[in-house]
Amino acid sequence: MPSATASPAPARPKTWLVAAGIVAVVLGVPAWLDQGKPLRHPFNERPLRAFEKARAEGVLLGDSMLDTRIDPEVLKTVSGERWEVLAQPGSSSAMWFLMLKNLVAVQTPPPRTVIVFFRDRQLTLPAHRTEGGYRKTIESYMREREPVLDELLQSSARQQQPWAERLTLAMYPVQWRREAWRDKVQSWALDLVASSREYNQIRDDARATFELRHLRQDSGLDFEREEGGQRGLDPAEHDFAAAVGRSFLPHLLALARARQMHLVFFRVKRKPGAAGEPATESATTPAYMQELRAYVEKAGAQLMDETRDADVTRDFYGADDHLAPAMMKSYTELFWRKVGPQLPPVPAPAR
Amino acid sequence: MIFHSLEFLVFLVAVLAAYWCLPARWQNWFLVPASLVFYGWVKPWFLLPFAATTIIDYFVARGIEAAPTKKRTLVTISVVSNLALLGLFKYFNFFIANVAALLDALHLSVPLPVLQVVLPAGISFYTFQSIGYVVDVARGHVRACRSFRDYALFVSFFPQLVAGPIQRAGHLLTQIQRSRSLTPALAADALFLLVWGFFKKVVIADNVAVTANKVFALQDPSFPILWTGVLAFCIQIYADFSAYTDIARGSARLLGFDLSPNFNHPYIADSPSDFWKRWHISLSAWIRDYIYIPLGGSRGGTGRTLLNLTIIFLLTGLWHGASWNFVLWGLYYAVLTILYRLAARLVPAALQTLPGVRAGKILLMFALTNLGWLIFREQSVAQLWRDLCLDPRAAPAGEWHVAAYLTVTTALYALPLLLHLVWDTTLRPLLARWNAWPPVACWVSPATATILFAALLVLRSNTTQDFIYFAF
Repeated sequence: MPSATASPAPARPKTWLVAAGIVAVVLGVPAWLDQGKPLRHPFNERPLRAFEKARAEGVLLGDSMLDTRIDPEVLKTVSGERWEVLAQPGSSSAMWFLMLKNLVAVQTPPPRTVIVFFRDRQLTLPAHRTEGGYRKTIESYMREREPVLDELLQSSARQQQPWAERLTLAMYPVQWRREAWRDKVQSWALDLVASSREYNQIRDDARATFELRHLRQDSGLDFEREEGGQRGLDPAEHDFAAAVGRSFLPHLLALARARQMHLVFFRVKRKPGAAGEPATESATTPAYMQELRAYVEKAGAQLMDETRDADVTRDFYGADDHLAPAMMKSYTELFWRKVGPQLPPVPAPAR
Repeated sequence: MIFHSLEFLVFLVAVLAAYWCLPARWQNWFLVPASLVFYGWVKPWFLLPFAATTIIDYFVARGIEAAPTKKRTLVTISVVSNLALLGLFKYFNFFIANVAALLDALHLSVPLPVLQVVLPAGISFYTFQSIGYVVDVARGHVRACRSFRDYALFVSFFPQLVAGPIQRAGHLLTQIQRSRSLTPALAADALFLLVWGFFKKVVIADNVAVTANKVFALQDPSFPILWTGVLAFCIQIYADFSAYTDIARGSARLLGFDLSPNFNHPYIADSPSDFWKRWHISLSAWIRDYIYIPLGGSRGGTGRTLLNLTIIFLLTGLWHGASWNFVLWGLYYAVLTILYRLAARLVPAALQTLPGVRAGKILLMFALTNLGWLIFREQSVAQLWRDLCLDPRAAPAGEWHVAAYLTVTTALYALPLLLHLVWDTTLRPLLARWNAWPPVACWVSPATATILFAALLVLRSNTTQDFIYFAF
């Protein structure tokens, strides 16, 4: 059997022209489909009204780390104050900025204290959880004009979005409609199984079915990845000094200062290893945290770091960094025992 | 390098451009290093076990031809060396974990070594392909390849290296040894396969994977939610694996090669043996030709046949992964196949040809396939048992509604698979009968590819999952 190749049948120019034409049609036609950017979701007034009614003295902001840690009723009992928990699973610094600006800071009088729960370098990752499915929730907290948000996200996209993603988005603007199409598929599915009166019920039931507390221990499911969250929380190359200017952190601090709210950043402890050892972090994280602390304290705010707290053991945890539902009460009590005394004292009522 | 990445698209375009610019005698020289770059892109050390297989089997095959009397010894060397590689990387830790569990049960504490190493991608595929070649040479079905370059390309050919289809020397090696050409019809067909493959991966598989992953992460799913997750996984694994095959075949076709297909609408199978003729065809054919038939196949009486069936299905299960759920999955198919064979003897032939019987058999086989996927997907045997004991009456009404909603969402994403089935099984034969296929093909493939590409842009999932079969 000969192994040398026989002389080839040279590809004729016509063949290549036709092949190139086919490729051009397949790749080119969808580039003409441009339905423009989809409409923005309107500001949701409901959380604002509910928050106004609560007349909170203190507020906790955060994502599922807060949602699975603090039991609002237990906190009210142990603190004896009106604390509101504004936990938005899947949120990050962009959302916290909007919540602080459009929900909390607009109150008269504003709450005395705001505690922001965060993990690792979340505070200086402005684009974290702002794309894909997250965008819709962010928009529901956006006022008509949000120049700070727009500027920071655009600048972050320029810096961090892979060039290929930007290129394909520019080539195929029809991709702006992806979220709208996902909603359409879900609406068609709902139309086929329920009447319009049952939509919200089914959506609520679906959310309840897949709540974090129902997950297997160490399920390995990375919901952040599942839901299109972007970029890791502890990237080693992420330098504080270089990132802080393009983050929401200065704006959070400025807002708190302007409204005379005491701002606390509370770094939660990630799930320890099997032997109770702290979760792995990059070698540069300690230096990052030092810089963050100095920056925050200089602006008159506080940084509390739970990551070395030996009382927060592995037994508290459920799936991943989230706490087990059964441990929320004891964690809330522990939290208040440790954090409460470090907060500024409640001013005496004016005579 | 993974197919659904921009790196791969850039790589493919660059390879195609260079490949077709080169004279034919240089094309194989070019494809070997290109394939090695593809394979070693993320972890260059993957090339070491790969090189071991290639070098050993090349010389073993040459040795068989040079000294036919020693072919049994030489085949043994090839099989043992390949299985040793597989055993080391894929099964060693499974074996150690089971020995440790056994010792633990006997209250013996012996520290055992654990191999901290990633499974080299595609090792189960290329070792089987290479063993197949050596056996084919020993059987005289093909001649030993004289050119090491051509043999290296046969094992390393990048479109099918990581997840198949497992090729036979008689099919791929002969194409490597002759010149290739590209016609507009081939290019259109290849482009359709590529776009359809990407569509199946990023639109169908990755979207339904969200439901499957969430359901299989639940501690105590209710009956309807669990089976919704199983159905989603059923769609996911087919769309995912067949997508890989289509992208592989499309890429190969652009290089002028024809790779054998790996799927033939497996979910319209009407029996387990029919399923395995339609699912991962290259693996089932490999196991049939190189294990089942040498074991005696169905020629040694009922008992022997049943034993042979059990052996091959257990091996099929183990091929997929070193875990008890895969062993159970293999065993499940062995039992199913045996039961179907017995039932075929008991049910009168006239009854089997009644109208509607085949549709019923397809539905039954689809349900049984889903049960198989539950065994395949559920890593813990204890959890699997809990799943199987679920009582449908215990599920709250709300969860039935959620399950219906998720099932319909999954079905909507799977709709293109159904349309493809109708096209392949009804429309295409009809057009062929009217002799209309060739002219229609000229515009149907590019037009469909254009529509699929546009749909891919708006419907692709926010998340990208690895190809499931990369893990095997």
